[in-house]
Amino acid sequence: MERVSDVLDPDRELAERFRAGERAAFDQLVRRHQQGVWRLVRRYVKRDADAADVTQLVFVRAFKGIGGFRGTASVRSWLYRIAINCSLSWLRDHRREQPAEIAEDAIVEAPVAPGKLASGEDSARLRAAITQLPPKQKLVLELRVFDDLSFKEVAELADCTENTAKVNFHYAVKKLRDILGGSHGG
Amino acid sequence: MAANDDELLAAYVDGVAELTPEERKRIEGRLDELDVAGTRDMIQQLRALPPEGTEPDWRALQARIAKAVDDAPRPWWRRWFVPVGGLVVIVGAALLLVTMRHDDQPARAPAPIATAKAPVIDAAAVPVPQAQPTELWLDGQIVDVGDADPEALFDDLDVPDAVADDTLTVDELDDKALDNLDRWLERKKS
Repeated sequence: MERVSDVLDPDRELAERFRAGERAAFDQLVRRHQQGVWRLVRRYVKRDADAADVTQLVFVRAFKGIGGFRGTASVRSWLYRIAINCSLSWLRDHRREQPAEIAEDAIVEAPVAPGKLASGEDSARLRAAITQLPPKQKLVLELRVFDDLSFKEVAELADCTENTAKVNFHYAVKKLRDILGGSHGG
Repeated sequence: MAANDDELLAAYVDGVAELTPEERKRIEGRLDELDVAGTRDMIQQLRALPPEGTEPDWRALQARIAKAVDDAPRPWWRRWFVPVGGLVVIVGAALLLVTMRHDDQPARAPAPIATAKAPVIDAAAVPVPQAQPTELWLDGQIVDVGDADPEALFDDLDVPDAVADDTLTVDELDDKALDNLDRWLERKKS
């Protein structure tokens, strides 16, 4: 699947218009990326309300920092980079509140979409297996699979080359298959 | 980092278009040996996972973001951009105007210099100085030259004829007369 961002960044024009002072362009960027940013943040911050707060913070930072956006990466990569930084910062500030939330989250939530997974138990097992991945592999896998980023964008966010992103993705998938044994097609 | 062929398998399965032609060719040469089906199945399971959490009310979130952005203090360069930029434009325009007006004006004559007028003095009020005798310090004594015979003043100085004769000019003197004159001057100095 060829991604649009590899050919032309569809957000570039919006970013330029916003830099030129058009506030409506920023609102459009928010509408376009709020869901993606929220989902990314939500993987770090384990409470919906907190994820919404952090998402709001991400866009406020983007609003203030648009002058520093150089255009070397896509607008989406730039926003997701801010999202990762804000999430990690939030986690540092709320360190004591997190472990219980993670444990609860891994077992209870995430209702299963019919026909996609055999059961909620499988879903929970798979999520638990993802948490066991080395940080780099986990980041690459999540950005690729859940955020649907190109390997080029993944590499930008993971601070590595595109080739390294591809290799990390391979080992993440392989390790998940090892962890889950034969129950997931391994 | 050069990847082994099998290290690119997951990328090949999930996004063949993102591999270079060379990478694709290498993988495709080994597909029989690699577990393509198992890898594809794992990736499909991952992609089928529903997103975590319950999504918020997006309109409400947009409104919150808009309000937060409006309330947020603008960065310093935006706060100062309008006033400083305006000031620069105004000063620049003023300088331009002054320069243009200066160029348009014809060359003016220099301002007249104020001349001081000498005060009018009543001649009758100024006392006339008395004539003083002309005195010279000559040979250790004061000599009043006003009344003296000019010839007598130099009698004892053995002045050469060339000096004594005031009708001669230097151009008319011959070498001998000049030599005599030099010697006399040297003697006078010593």
